[in-house]
Amino acid sequence: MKPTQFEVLAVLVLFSTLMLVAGMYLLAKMNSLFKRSIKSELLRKNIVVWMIAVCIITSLAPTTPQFYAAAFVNNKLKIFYLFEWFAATVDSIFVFNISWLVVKYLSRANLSFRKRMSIILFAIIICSILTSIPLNYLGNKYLGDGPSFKDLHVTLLFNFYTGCMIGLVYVTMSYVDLERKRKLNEKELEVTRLQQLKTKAELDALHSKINPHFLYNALNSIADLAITDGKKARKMTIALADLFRYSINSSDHNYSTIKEELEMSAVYLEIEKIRFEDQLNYSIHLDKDLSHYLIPRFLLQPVVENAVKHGLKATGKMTEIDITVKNGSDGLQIMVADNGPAFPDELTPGYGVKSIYDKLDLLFPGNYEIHFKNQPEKKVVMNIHKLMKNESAI
Amino acid sequence: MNQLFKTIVIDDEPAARRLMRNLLQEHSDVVEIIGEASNGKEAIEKIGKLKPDLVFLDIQMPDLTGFEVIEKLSEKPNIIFTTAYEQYAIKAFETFSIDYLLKPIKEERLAQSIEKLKKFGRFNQSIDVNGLQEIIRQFQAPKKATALPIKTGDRINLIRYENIAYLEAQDKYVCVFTLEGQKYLTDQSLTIMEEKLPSNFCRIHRSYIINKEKIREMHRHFSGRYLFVMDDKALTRITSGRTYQDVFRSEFGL
Repeated sequence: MKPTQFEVLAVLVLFSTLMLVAGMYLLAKMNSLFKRSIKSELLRKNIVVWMIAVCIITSLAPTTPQFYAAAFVNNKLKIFYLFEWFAATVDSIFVFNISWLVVKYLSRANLSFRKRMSIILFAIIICSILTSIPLNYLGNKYLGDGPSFKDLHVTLLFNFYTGCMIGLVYVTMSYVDLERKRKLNEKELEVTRLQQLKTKAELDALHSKINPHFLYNALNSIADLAITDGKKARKMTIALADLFRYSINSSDHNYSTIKEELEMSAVYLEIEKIRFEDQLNYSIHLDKDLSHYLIPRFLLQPVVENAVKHGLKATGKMTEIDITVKNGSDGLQIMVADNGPAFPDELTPGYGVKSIYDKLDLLFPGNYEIHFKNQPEKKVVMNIHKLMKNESAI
Repeated sequence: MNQLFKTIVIDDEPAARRLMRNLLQEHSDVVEIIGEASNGKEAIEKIGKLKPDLVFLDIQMPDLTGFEVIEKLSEKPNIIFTTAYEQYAIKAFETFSIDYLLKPIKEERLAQSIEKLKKFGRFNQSIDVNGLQEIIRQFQAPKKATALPIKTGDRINLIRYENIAYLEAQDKYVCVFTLEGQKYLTDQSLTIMEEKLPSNFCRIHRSYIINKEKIREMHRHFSGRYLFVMDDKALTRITSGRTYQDVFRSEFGL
């Protein structure tokens, strides 16, 4: 028994609906499809676009007048579908690759979103119309009354319409993408901004203001030196001024170069040396090529201060402080050694040590290591693995 | 006739001692300097030997504090403290009305102290060092340990409590695991560790102590036990032990 016209139509419409769903699904997944198996982006996109085109055109078949003629008048449904798929193939390859070129070309030119979209829309419509000319000819040959350009104006109009449709789908997708990116960027910006603010606030709190105890003692020494040794008094006043200028940090920098940090350590040690007359000696060693690398501002101060304090504990001998900065096997290595009594096994970090951990946590998270050594000499070792160079200072 | 006070100046800074000597020249009718000391040990020695009537004592010295020096003296002379900044000490002095001089030392202020000394002959006579130190301790924010020192070979690493996920006893060692998954070994027992660690660490098993602040999830397990998923990189899973059930149940309010 031959199926009725309605039954045939129902099956075909169902088929079309399924193809429409498949087409939409592919469209939504366009960017992630075959990402693993096909490496070349152009080839991958061509295949996906072709699949989408086949699905959509097949699903739109019942809307064309030739469909009814092919299905019910001259029984050329098979040829009709083959032709539709052929058209989809030609259309997709031609339109897609031309638009691809246009998009690639435009991405280099700095155009506004609106201008770019207008040009792409225009290109898609033109391509779509152009492909309609040979397709009209072939359509007439296989489905119509023989090779001719009969009803070309109708095909042109129809392809103008499909071109618009494809173009608008593209524009909508681009717009949605743009919005999403914008939102993402905004969120990211917000997060980084907040992070910076937080880091800044935390660092401000950490910037160890110079120990007031040290200041008053130094001033007490100056009170004596002013009478007994004017030159030393002058030297110490200038050193104190330098140290304070550095600690006030008027330019609000979180980082300093190693050179600056070492200079300040030297100034600090110079003051201590005057204060403790001949009880303190210091040496500083720096690999020249390291001087422009950046480390947290005031990283060294608490460590050096501790070293002096510990060194002086061993009374009756010269306190020797040594600061060495060198290129270790694992990045930058900063070592501060003193010859005071050994670190106890049960070391409890004071405010100074805690602050260097906090500073490095904020500015070099996960990229540093600190340990305390007693052998072969007593020292604090700080390793910083990933370094930044102060380009402007070089 | 005025009494002449034999005096020792104790300060770790030579310039500070010199300054005191210079300033005291004005008062040579009352004060005679018979010695100096530059650290706590030397101070105790000299005071014992020279038996001064008056001592200018710096509080903050590298080896001993001024208070520790006093504690170790058998005979206590008159003492005038000198200090740069010890806010807490100053509060304590005022509570006990003990004379002290702030650095940099003012001539007028020193003169006042000398006047007082002349008038009363003695002062700061019986310093209640324990009471004084008790007050200082109260004022001072207690120095809280914030990290666990772990000795490996010749180096000591400080692992901050906030970075520790859990501790595990293995053989006769204890492994400390950080959030990043690093592992540190120590030869101290888990029980000693338990005592050392602050209250946010909790023993949940014979061989496990976890950081309560780094728990990601807790699941009910068989026979009243619990499964903890830690908030470290590896999302470590640890099951509580039966004997420790009651302890951590009360800790977690279960």
